[in-house]
Amino acid sequence: MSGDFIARGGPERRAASRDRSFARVLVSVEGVVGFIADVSERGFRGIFPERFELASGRLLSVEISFEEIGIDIFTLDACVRWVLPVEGGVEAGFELASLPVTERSAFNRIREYYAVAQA
Amino acid sequence: MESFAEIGYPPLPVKGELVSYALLELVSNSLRAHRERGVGEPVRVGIEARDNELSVTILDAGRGFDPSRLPYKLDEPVDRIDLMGAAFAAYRERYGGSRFGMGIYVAKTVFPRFRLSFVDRENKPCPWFSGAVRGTRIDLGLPILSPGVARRELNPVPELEAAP
Repeated sequence: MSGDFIARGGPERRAASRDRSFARVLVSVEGVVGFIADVSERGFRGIFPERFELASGRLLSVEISFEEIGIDIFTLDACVRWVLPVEGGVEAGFELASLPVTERSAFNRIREYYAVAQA
Repeated sequence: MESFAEIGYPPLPVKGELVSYALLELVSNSLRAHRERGVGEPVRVGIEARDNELSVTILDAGRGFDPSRLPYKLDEPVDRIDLMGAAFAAYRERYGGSRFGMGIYVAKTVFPRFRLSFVDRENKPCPWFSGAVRGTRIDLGLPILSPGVARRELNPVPELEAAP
């Protein structure tokens, strides 16, 4: 299995599924960074490239960034709903504890981006 | 950009989704460098599974970057990097809260073999301070869990020559 790919830095084509990017999620309490893999109205699935203790039911402050679509780092409170160890890391489902008006726009933009990218 | 999500990885000790994200993070960095410096050339990515290793090479012409501006040392073991430390806080502040500074960190976490080199116009390694940096080359390696040999060459990344 092998291949060489060319990525061009030309005009953005972010509506196309082949241009999918991603948001980073930082579980600030644990000092661990991961990626948002899926987003819904109620929360998101995070995937992290290292194992760490993450208990279901725990409420965490989570930092999110998506620079590629112009979203600066913002913070949300989210509850860990499930945790799944995977090869080389861990996945977790996060349910938003609240979505303040100030963060709602940024989160919804990420959700809409993923909805288009994964269509 | 062709989608990493469509790559069928061989058996790896790291979930393929994490590998793709780590690669996307690095390619995003390269594309951003091209965009910021008005470089119209493509970023080249080579992926190969051979000799029980998934090897990836990313080569850009984004003029490199000053390693001293990273919130960690390039050769620092990943388990010694403190993501919540003052250096990261300063990095985020410098970029107005838009960047985590995670790309290389995540790649070092996912890929046990990691080498970053600056290259000149002939794709030969050169130090950042030489003033001859044309771009950045990152070589990554991850063990494959079972033997396999396959190769596909579409737009091969040139071999990295030894430093003089």
